[in-house]
Amino acid sequence: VYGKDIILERASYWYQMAEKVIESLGLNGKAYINRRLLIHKLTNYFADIDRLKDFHAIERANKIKIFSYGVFWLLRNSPIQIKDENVPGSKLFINETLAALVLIVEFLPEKYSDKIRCCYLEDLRYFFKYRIYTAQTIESQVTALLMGAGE
Amino acid sequence: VETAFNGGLKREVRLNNSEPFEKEQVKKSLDKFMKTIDRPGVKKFLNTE
Repeated sequence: VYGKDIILERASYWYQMAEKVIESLGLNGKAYINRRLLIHKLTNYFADIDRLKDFHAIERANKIKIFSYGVFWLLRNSPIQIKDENVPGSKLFINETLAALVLIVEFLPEKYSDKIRCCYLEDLRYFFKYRIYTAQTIESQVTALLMGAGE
Repeated sequence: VETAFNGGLKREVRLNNSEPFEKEQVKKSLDKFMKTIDRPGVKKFLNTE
């Protein structure tokens, strides 16, 4: 159902974002992207979305589903791996940080200040670190975020 | 008054998406991501102990 082009394009999308997060956290050389885990993340995601489309008889999944399932499989497969034992605790949960960032970028309107943006980031990262999540609970978080943002 | 039936219809609309998430949309999302992560406030947040 999904061609090689789409899968490679999506792999490149997540890879570039992962690279940027590593760089922004100052973890160059201390963290790396495991490509096999990234491919696992993508195949799991596309298998899930395919089942979803079949079940609901829909042609295209909506944006909330695309990102909720995308983030869910990012967290389950954790393709960003830390290889340095001395990385500070605040930077250890790098996949959770990327997951929170992706949702904020996609769903929080630009008009909001960085202060509010970072509150959402912190809350989402906390949720991914300490709470039980599924693709469905992430969907619910996104819906709540949109409602809170008045969208 | 919103009825359960209306809710159902809305849900159907919500599930479906006429917009694909391919080349152009992926590029747009990526650009937005790069810009957001470079915002001073976000950078500071990411590097706060």
